[in-house]
Amino acid sequence: MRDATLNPVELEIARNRLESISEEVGTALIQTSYSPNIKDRRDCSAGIYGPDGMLISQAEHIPLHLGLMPTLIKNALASYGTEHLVDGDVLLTNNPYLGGSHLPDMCVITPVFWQETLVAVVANMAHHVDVGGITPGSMATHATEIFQEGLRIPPVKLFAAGELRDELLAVVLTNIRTQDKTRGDIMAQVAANRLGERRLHELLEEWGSQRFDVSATALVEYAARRTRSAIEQLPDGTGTFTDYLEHDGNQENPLAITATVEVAGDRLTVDFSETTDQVAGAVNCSWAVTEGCVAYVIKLLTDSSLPSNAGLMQPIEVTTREGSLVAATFPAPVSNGNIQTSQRIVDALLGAFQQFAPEHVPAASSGSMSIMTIGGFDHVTGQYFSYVETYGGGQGAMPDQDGASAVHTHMTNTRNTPCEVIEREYPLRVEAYRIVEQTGGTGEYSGGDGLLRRLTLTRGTAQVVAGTSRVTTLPWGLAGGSAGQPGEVIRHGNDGDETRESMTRFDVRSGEGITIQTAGGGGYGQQQ
Amino acid sequence: MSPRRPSRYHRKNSRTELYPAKGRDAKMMSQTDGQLHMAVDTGGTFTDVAVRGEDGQMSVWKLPSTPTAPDDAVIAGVEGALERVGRSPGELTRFVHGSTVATNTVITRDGARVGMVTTRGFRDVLAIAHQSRPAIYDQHKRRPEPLIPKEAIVEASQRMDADGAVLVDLDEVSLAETVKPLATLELDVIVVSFLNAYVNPEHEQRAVAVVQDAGVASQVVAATSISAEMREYERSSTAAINAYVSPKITGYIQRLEQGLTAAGMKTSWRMMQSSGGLLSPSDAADHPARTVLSGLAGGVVGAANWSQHLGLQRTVSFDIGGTSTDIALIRDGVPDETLASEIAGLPLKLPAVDVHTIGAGGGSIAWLDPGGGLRVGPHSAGAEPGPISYQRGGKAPTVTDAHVVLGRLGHELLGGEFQLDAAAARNAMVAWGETIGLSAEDTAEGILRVITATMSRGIRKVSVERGIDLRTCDLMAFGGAGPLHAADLAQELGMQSAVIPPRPGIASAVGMLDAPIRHDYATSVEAKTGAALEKLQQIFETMRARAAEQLDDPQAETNYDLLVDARYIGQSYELTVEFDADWERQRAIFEDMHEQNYGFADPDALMEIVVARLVVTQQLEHGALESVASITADVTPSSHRDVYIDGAWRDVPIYDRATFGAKTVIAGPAVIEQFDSTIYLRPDQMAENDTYDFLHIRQATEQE
Repeated sequence: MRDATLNPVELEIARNRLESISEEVGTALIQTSYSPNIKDRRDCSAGIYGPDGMLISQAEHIPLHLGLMPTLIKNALASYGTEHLVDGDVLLTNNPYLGGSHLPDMCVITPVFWQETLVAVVANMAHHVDVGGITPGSMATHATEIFQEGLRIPPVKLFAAGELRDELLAVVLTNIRTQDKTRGDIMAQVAANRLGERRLHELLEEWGSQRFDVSATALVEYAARRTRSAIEQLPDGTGTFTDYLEHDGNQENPLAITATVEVAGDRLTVDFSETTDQVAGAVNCSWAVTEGCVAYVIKLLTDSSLPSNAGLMQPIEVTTREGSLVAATFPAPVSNGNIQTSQRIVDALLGAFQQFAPEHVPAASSGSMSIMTIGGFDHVTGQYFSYVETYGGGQGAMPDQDGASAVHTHMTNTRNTPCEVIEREYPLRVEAYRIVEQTGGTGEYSGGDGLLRRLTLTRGTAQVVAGTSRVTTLPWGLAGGSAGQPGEVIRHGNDGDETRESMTRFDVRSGEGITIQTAGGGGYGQQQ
Repeated sequence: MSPRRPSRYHRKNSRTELYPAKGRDAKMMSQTDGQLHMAVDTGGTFTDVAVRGEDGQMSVWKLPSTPTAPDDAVIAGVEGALERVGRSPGELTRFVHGSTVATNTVITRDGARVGMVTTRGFRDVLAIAHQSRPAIYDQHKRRPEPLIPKEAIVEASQRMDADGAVLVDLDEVSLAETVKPLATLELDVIVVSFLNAYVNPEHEQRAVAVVQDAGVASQVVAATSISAEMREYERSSTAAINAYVSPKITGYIQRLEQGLTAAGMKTSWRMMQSSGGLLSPSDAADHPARTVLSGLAGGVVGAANWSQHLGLQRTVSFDIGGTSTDIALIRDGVPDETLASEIAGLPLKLPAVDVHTIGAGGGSIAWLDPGGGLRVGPHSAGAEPGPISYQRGGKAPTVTDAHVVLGRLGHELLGGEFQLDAAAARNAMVAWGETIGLSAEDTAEGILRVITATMSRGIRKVSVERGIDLRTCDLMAFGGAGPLHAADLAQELGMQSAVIPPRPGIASAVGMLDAPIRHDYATSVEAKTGAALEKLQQIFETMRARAAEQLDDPQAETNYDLLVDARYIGQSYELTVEFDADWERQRAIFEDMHEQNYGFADPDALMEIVVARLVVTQQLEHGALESVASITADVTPSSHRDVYIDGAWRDVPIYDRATFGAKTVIAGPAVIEQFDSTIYLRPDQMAENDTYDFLHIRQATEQE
């Protein structure tokens, strides 16, 4: 590799140009995609890579994608073999075991050639509406192996030398419930990459491939320096913490996630080997998700502006045990690893850091992305409907600030669906949508309060699938602050109310409904 | 949304300064029967004044703003400016005003005490907001506190469904009891905002009467009377903002009205709205939220009119101030509009010019990050202490200081009113350069290269979001600092040309002189088939009737734009498109727009219309543009100075823009100075002045 020395000005210009390209690819994808998952929830990311899959710049819209894009592309390219790629090819994959997260996250990879040499790669990943499997939306909580979660696609050419491979696409779409939308979203992904390719060609025209290479390497080294300087702000020390996920998707089953963290100067090592084995439930995480959680926590605790490229993780070593809950291997189902487990991995990491860097670490937040799906057939419109939303909760108090109420924390950050839109588009009535006061932990700084949404089915029948967490455990407080109040899931049946487990599935008829209340955040410090 | 940017210019004293009409005496010829137009635009630091006579002769002013009583500077500007051109307020035939009172009231949280009545179960709608956090990795960043505190919100027993059918009738007796305790809060305004009231406002209206009778606040307003569109958070937020700024705006307008009358002004006057249209003072007092983003609109309206005049198809309007830069896109002379704007993080569901603001301006501070990258902004030296060269205590090197060190800026601004301390800027640049291993010149040039990259990134993002190719666009650069950066940006982005309007530093005031009078009406509807179109037409008729009542001069030529917000069923966003009474044609219009905006249309999906909009405009007669045809094309530099360009000092000619006539052509490198701005021209560029004093900067090779 060339010696990548750029002066401070050249470095910043290179950073702006290359970040601008990933940003444009991400923006184009959001702009031209069909499904609300991408367009509104922005569950997607885009990146520019070197020819070997080294991430140069990334635009991620939710933190979860931090760990996915650096690893998936590198592995996909290695497994396919870049020697088999030609100009005009486009690869497609959604294999979580290669470094993705779950099957709905489909990744489109476009190699960029310049003067007949592979010089860069543009890739983007987006959460699709459906990829087949046992439930609409492909996010079943009760899967026991990955085959039930949908179609798994190894890295394959969707386009070969510029030609769309129709037969391959037909196979993919035949196995998916929402063919048209999925086709539209995949083509939006391809088109967004094409914009990135054009921008890279403009840049290569201006810079030449040598300056491009030097700039790419310099940016990765720059990011590594930034991370090292950020880690140095933390005191040296080591800590181990175990937190528990209470439900495996099929039953209540406390799953231990253990993180051991060590900071030594400008290096960070994280070891998850003590974490429990993977389970026959949809809460397993690919190790890429786990690595994303580590990247998130370091940005949270030190410098929120650390650049997202291959350099971000260079000074950080993450060890996981293959076959564990946080490094799932075939055939473990993984669809809800993002929703539930990633949030608990963050909690475990924060608990470990807290032991030697207490002044940097907030108390636990509500601990789940809290997903609700209500789907069925509406005989009035004659259409199937599927309401899906994730709910915020209480943010953990910080050493110097109260936690916020009713907010998405840690690995996600999507917007809510307005009550008026829910009532207009689904056979649902919102009975209440409010902050549940006094659910945040108390302390010198109090945790944020949880959120409550109560919904009633107004006609027909439907199936409800709800998944939250911190129902049987509590978001912990710190330094004498009390824990946040737990969440709650209640089925409102015509036969009366019934408290349900944190991950649950049941049928409702007209007039019946569900309340989901998310947990409050933990408090910080002794109350004065 | 940032507060109104302070101008990057600062003055040593508070005397007003007149910049005379170009090529003419400071005093205009006396015209008693002609048009006399005036615009006064209040900014954070300066109040800008533009006076236009019958032939388009323009005189512009800057005088210090008076933030505690902004109307003082407005009146002083009116009287002073007219006196110096030998005219009087009584002669004015048009007066338009851009105010930041509403904007600043929200930003500084200095507004009314507002309470709210909501549907039972929904008192936290404002507090929950979108449930997202503003910064994904910065846990300390919070959503803005709602303008209405929790203790001032009560719930009413009532409920309607999404079709407006009553599920639970409004309990007026218990509501009267519930609101009683609010009396202790001494509220100025109470907003009544009920779920689904956008379909049927009856409960809101009845509740308003109940709360009024209870006498717990001086003013009670139904949220749907401010915005009647779906989405409870946006609608409630808009009504809350309106209530919050209302008493201040009303008081301000009354004071200003009295002041203008006392000064002898006879013509009726108008205020700028966020949409780029004008509103009468009484309408502005009723709907003050419509003026909240007006500070951004003046320049964009000007850029749009100028683009139309110049026949530019796509223009990026680029307004650089002290701390930030506002980017807008203009197509065929019409600025892109949005219904999803924000003020200080709070949503505002009212028409506004679609402006993207980035944290980069003349005052942006250069710094070295821990990875060794030279960064510029988003921190700004602002108006206080300002750049080092302003000699007001600024210690950190800024973009403006870089221009001074490189010689792009001379030693004075505002026609000599304001001195720049080049030595201080240079010393600081030498010292800071040493710490990063660069000479003072290369440091300064580096700062400009970095700010160019930052600004380009902002423009690229907007262009992708709006689906346009920058290579087909022209750049319209203004704001005091815009013309200093236009040449670099147009080159970096490969744009057709950069255009500098005649008065770039006062473009906002000049721009609003020709803004149209505008009223916006919106009604929520539910139309999923052609059968609903008849009802839609009735709704348009109802809105037209309301408009007829509201227009000051219903006889004047009036333009009615019938628009609808349409979407594919299930989509969570709408596109505003032209209304067509034929369902198939309506669908074709929608699909075409969808294709243009998002790159695809979906022939299989069902379309629905959710809002009917009526935009009523009366275009005031455009004032003449000032011609420079009588001024000779030949120019000679007023001086030369050393300017550092691409790694070397060069002897560069300095021109006075006031000497430019039609067809004046200048080869780069050059610096062109004028009272309110400074233009930089790169060595590889040419600049040509047109008959109406617009300067067009292009790549030299294209012209040879």
